[in-house]
Amino acid sequence: MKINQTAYPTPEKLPSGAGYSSTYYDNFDIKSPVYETQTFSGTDYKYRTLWSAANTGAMQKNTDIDMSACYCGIPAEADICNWHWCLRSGSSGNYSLDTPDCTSGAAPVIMALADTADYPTLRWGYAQNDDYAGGWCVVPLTDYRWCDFVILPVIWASATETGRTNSFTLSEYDETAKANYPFVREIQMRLYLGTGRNAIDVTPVIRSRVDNSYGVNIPSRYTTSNSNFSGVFRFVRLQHIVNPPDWTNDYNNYYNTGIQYDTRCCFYNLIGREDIDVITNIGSGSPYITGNTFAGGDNWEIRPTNSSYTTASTYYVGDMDIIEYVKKQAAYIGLPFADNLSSVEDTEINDSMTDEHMYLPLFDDNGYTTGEYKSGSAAAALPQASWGSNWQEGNKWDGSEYETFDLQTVLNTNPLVGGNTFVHSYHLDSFTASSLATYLYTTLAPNVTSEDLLQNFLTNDPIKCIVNCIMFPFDFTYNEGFKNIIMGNVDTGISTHDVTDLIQIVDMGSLKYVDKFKNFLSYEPYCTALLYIPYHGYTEILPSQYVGHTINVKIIVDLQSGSSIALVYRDGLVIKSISGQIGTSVQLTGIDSATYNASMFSAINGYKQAKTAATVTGGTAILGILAGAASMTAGIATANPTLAMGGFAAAIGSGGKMANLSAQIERAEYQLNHVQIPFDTTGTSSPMSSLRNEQTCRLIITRPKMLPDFDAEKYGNTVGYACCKTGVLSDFKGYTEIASADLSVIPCTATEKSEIMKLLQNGVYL
Amino acid sequence: MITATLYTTTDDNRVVNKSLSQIASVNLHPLKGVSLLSPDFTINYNATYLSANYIYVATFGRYYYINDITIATANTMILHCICDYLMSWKNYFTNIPCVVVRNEFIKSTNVPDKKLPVDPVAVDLESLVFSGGTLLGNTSSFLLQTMGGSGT
Repeated sequence: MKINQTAYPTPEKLPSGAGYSSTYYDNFDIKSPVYETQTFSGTDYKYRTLWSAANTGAMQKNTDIDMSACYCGIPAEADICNWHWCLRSGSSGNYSLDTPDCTSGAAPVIMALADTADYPTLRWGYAQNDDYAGGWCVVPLTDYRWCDFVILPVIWASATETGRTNSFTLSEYDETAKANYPFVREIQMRLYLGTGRNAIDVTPVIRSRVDNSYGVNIPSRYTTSNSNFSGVFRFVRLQHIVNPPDWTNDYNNYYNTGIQYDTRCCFYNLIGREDIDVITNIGSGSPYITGNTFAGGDNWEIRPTNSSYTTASTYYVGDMDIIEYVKKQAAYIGLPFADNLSSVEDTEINDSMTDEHMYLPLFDDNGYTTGEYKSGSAAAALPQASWGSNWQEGNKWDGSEYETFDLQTVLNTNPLVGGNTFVHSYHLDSFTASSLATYLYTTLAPNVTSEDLLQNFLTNDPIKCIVNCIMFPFDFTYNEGFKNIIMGNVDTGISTHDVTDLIQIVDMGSLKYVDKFKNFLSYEPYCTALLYIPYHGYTEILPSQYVGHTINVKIIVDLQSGSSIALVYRDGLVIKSISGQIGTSVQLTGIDSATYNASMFSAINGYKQAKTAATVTGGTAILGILAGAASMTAGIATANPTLAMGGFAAAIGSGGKMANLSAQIERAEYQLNHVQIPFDTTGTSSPMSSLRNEQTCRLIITRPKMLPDFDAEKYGNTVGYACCKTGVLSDFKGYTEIASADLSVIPCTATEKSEIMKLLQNGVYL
Repeated sequence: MITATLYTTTDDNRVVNKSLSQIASVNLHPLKGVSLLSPDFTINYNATYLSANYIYVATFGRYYYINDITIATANTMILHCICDYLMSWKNYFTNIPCVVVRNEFIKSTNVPDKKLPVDPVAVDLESLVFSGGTLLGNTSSFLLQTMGGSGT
């Protein structure tokens, strides 16, 4: 927006931290599951807005918004809202986005997005409702046709630069008024709706005007009367209306309480990407917030409207003929438009229309408007002239009809029966796990006997009661209430939650894969995409399958084994799965009581034998020793075979061996006192390295770059862009290569035909 | 008598409808057989004709490039020509049905262009983190399974 700097002070930028940012947001993911809750009159209303999406990071700047979402349906199973067109109008006054309650009245008519499809069919009414402060309300529309909307552009122009403005349709201005009213101050895009289009006259209007002649300077929101609004075409999200009242009987309340919070939304302007700075109200010096309008860029200037420079207004200063400019802007909106009122009111849009005053906008292959249009019979030949009750035939905007397309993956969430028949499953946190370890190492260890073990634990090795212990990097679902951990027949007294749902699903979030190039470069082999899923590694995904769609990852976890399957969704449909291991086994140890008992028995026996060997030296016992040599030896052998033999020999042979016998007793006594408690382990220790890796999914896209000196214009002129178009040669201009042509019409020699074909295939300049 | 018109043109040979600057009209004196597509024309010598690079022969109804000029005698010069098929038949091109695979102005977004000078080495890397995931990355939860007691 050009500012006439000599007329008034430099406009100030919007201060930071204000409730409204003039930067438009791109890449708005309407499927973001982020909700906010607002309370009004004690009732919570859950809603999702552009504002909340921006604040929570679901919206990202500087990437293109997916405009095709405006024209397509959303499945009923999706956790997102359906799209509806809504019209809103209000009384005169100022409108400020900084005032969420919208207390000051006039609100622009907007195309808003409702959060549920449960609205009645089209109900349109002149919404001049003053029950709510500000007096505005919204009529959600359903069951409409695209061609039920027609825009009537209106030019407001004055004969002199500061003179009074008059309004003209495009036809009127072009045929009779252009010469006499050369100063174009405003363009209005008046929206008409309904059969006949004569009932909804002027209430919804999109204006280009920036005008502070009444002391306010809000180009997008100023109204002079109830009959029109000042605003630009906006998308704003209505909140999800929980338990809406019966609005057939409670018409006013429904609107007032249902929509009030949409003013919290950060508006995205469908048109009007120009950021108009705060413009000082000349004279008073009070700044007013301005917003984005389509009256921006180099085509508009703000100029004073009176000699005292206390007021200012926008003026069209563009090079393009104003009629063509307005038609182009109207075509960008993406709705039919007409250049006179009678066509708006009377012309039916269908595949047999001939009215040259009725125009239909053109869309590119991605569903974006192009600013181009056709009229009359040429427009009648377009697919959009025949769009019927659905937004696009076959596209099924009504969410419930999406079920017939089976575009959703429905997981089996039936509870697993019998998984805990032979085992108990418990949820442990770190504190409870520590308590269990204490129980195993401290409580059980000094109090074991084989009889107790078998009776209580059904095994003489308590550690074997633990079937499984797996660690997870997420908090899985468990039952409410506390239970003690049971091992065999023993109640350990350690309280925790039990678990019955042994198959759980973890949602890893989602991401919109935005098409940056909007051409073949976005796809393989030029682009590659790598998806990292924690505990499942990296997997390559095909851009052609995901570009322009939302990727969501869910992990199905088998709690008993720790194994998992990561499901990769494209817009609700799983088209890829990867196996992984998300649980990590934890190794546990406990006493091996059987081995301990055997060690004790051996040590006791050894001690007895050593003492017996010592008494043999008295002589008489030798016979006893000899007689019991076999058993004695056998008994001592379990403790120390070498010592036994040495002791025996010493007892029979030499009195000098008495010292050895004493040492043997000491050794046996030592062994008895130092029988080690053996430990047994259950489970295996698994690598935990994945825990250190990133815990969120990540999409890594590798995109090509052009060579640094690439000149697109020269490339087109000398090499030409790849395309695949059929037609006649006269349809094309500039450098052109053909695949083939039918040269039958040329009455030349065969040699010439052959040469002409070669030339056309190698490239000519038409 | 065969008449012709000499021109100069600076347009690329591939331009269908060339811009021509006339030099002179001349009379052609064929002394022997003349090819329709690759003719040699003999004309009276004139130094101004040396700048000509293009010729239209109305009798043949064709335009020709002058590829070479031979000064035959003091009075004659020979123009060695080859037919410009595009200019000669341009009036018939209007309604020729064709399939265009490359064009200066039409950019089909989804037709791969193998001639596009994509950098073979440098790439743009974009890394995007998913939003809404719930892994904690810590070891706060264990599943413990024990045997014994009554099943649940």
